[in-house]
Amino acid sequence: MNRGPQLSKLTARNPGFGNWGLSGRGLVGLVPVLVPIVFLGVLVVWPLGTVLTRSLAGVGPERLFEILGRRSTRSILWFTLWQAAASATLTLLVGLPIAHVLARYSFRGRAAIRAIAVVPFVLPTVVVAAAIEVAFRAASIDLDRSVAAILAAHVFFNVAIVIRVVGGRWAGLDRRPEEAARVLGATPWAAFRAATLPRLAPVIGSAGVLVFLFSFTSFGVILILGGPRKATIETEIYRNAIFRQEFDVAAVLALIQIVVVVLLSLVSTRLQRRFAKQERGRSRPFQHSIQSGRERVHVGAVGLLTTIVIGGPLTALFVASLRTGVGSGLGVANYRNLFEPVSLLPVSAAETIVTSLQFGAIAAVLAMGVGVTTAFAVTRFGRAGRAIEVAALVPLGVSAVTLGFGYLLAFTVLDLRRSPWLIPVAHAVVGLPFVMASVVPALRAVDQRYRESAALLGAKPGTVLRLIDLPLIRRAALTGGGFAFAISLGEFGATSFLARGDTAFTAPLAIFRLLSQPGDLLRGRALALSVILGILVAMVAALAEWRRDGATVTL
Amino acid sequence: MIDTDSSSGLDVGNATVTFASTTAVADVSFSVPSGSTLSVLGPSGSGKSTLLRAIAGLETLASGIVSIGGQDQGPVPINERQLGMMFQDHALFPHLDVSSNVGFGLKMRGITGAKAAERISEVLDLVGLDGFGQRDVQTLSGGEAQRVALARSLAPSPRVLLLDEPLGSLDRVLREDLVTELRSLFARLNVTVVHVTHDQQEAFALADDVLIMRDGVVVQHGPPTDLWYRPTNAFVAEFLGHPNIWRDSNGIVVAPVPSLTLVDTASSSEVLDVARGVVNDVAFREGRWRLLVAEDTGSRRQITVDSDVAHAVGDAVSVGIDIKKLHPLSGS
Repeated sequence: MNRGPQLSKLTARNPGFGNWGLSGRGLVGLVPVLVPIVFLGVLVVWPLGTVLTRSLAGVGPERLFEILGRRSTRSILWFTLWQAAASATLTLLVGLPIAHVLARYSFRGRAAIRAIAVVPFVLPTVVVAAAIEVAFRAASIDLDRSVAAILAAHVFFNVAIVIRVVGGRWAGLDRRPEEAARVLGATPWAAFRAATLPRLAPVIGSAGVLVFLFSFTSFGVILILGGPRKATIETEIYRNAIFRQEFDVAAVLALIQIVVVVLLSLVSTRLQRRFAKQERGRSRPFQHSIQSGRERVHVGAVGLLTTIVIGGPLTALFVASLRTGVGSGLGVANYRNLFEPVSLLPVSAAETIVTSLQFGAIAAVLAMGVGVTTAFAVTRFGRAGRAIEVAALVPLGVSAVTLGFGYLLAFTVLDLRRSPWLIPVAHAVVGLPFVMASVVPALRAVDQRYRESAALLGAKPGTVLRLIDLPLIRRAALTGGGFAFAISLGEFGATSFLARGDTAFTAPLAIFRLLSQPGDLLRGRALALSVILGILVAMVAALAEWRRDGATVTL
Repeated sequence: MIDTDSSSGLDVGNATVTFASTTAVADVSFSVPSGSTLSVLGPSGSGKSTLLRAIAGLETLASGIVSIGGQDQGPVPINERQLGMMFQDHALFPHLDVSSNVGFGLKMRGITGAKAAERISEVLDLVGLDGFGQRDVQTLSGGEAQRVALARSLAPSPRVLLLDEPLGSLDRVLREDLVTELRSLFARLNVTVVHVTHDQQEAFALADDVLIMRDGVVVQHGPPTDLWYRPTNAFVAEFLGHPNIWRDSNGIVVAPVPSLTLVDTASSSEVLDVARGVVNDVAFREGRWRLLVAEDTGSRRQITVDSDVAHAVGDAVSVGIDIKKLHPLSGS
């Protein structure tokens, strides 16, 4: 019997049950819809709308085409595209062997490699940039802020995406077609190419697109590692808006960015849908233990690669944070200096950590509250719900820089832009997709029969919500909130556009400013601050990951 | 002892439920007297589960009426109908332990503390799960989970107990044990029960009355013996598992197995020849012989007979039936 339509019917029509979000209690019943509409309307739609209006109407067609036709614009776009393409290709080259080994072999240290490989993804961009910079120096490669450092940082940062997205599918892939090919006489490689690769292709493509997207919208890494000469769309939106007051140019660049991001998101969605259609349900995944010497070498080499690629920069960063200059001994001087005032910063470096933690807490609570409410709206209200879901996921694709620029343009009324509150609120917007990614599947997984049973046992709609739904999504909400907290701690793109008085100066801003000036003592402070921030973020993310139980955060 | 409301007879009048353009339940009417059990039997897609959900208030009636103890339930919200419902997949609240699951309905009625605890252990005892209170529901076996679900729906003394394929997810042996237990439990509690199933044996074992549905419509309604010996059409006969159904000059004819015998002699006036010829295929099932008989006329007929003689391919047989036991059916 087909229950699907019945259940949706139930939600749509029955006044006594199902759509109890709107159980005829006027405004109170509308809360789950109103909260996301107001929140996303003010903090996503309005600022992005302002950017679009500015670039399309405000600038005027003549100026728009003049800016688009500029040589500098074209070279910015070209560099942005090719570095993103190179980053995606390299990340796949590094990530696929790791994904394969983690998906197909069981061996001692597998969990460790998996954990190590995922660490960089949660690290703040400024910390990643600092680690790569230090690693290049330690290896005595003076690349003079070349592209290599940027690409290395993007690989370091995004390899976790390939491992998670591709590795996850790979591990769950039915092995029987490959076995059938082997039995029919194919060599291992031929069997892989004929039976496994075609089934993995969409998800590899999807991961590639995702890495391309993140590299395309990369900001902090390029600002720090690229120096003044390496310009991408993101850094030029920032420079034009903040330093040159060229809002028109910034708006046109933001328009290009939005168009590219939307196109790529469509490609990614299509790829994912193709995969979903292709392989569903019953599968017999397997992991086998290492048997031959060749396999041992293979797995060992991949483990070593992972450790060097990921562990190298992190170790280099930590060691460098213990030195006050080239060739100096190891010590905690840099860490002690964090408490000293420094002219570059409005407060001591240590105080920026406190500010970041406060903002993180506010952002996490806000993202959780709005995220859970929005998740209810998304799962309850069919098409309207889907529109809200799309709006809530926008910040994941459209970069934080564009969002920050939107705030700069839109929030001129009441001097909102200068309010220190805007920073944690903006962080909550950036963290919202992560809460949604965790809570929406959890809420969808709540069996409708639980609610029906509770109602039949005498529970009023509000009671069902309190005693059934909320307890069942609690873990997912905390996981999402944890990620939102971690993201807030490292958020740099949007923050760099917003107010920065002495009460609103975050740790990532401090790291960026300390790194961008010459001087061993400033640099030492930046590295020490990076280590502390990195450890804090990793701890929060690990805690969130550990708390999750069944609830999956997918990107 | 658990007391159930005495005024708990259920009346369903001309109930119709529609989904978009399809009618899932069409103009269904029946009554279940207080304290008796009705099994709604039908193949999947027949609308039986929808009917049950409509009684619970989980589906809205397009027209018709559901009343309990003479009182129209239309305007009564689900949570005030005081019904018990048990789902096939039992739908135990996964975040609560056994006693919190069982006590949920009590809590909703404001019964807490020692009074609730007493009641919880009473019903757990009743379903044979004494001492299971602190267990995590995720650790229960299928049969235990189903018993907890039963205890949960019984705890607040429902006016009507609704069972949606309650034993569907259990294996056969467990199922037969539970059916026996449920029957004696329902008799003891004197509770009004509506039970939905696609399993004829389960329905017959549990119910005072059986209602057979097909495509949203009631095909036949009556006590099990009536249904078995007087099926109204070939669908009912086939669905109930009659093996001997055929067409003769009177239309469709059903012969209950025990009345069908092998005859050696030529037909007497009371015995109607059913098949005479050579056995082409034999299968021995549940103590009966299913024979494929190639008749002298050239046609082949499948029949099931009671016989303690072993049959083999090539045997010549003659099968007849007492004319008084034949049931001519109307309809196609």
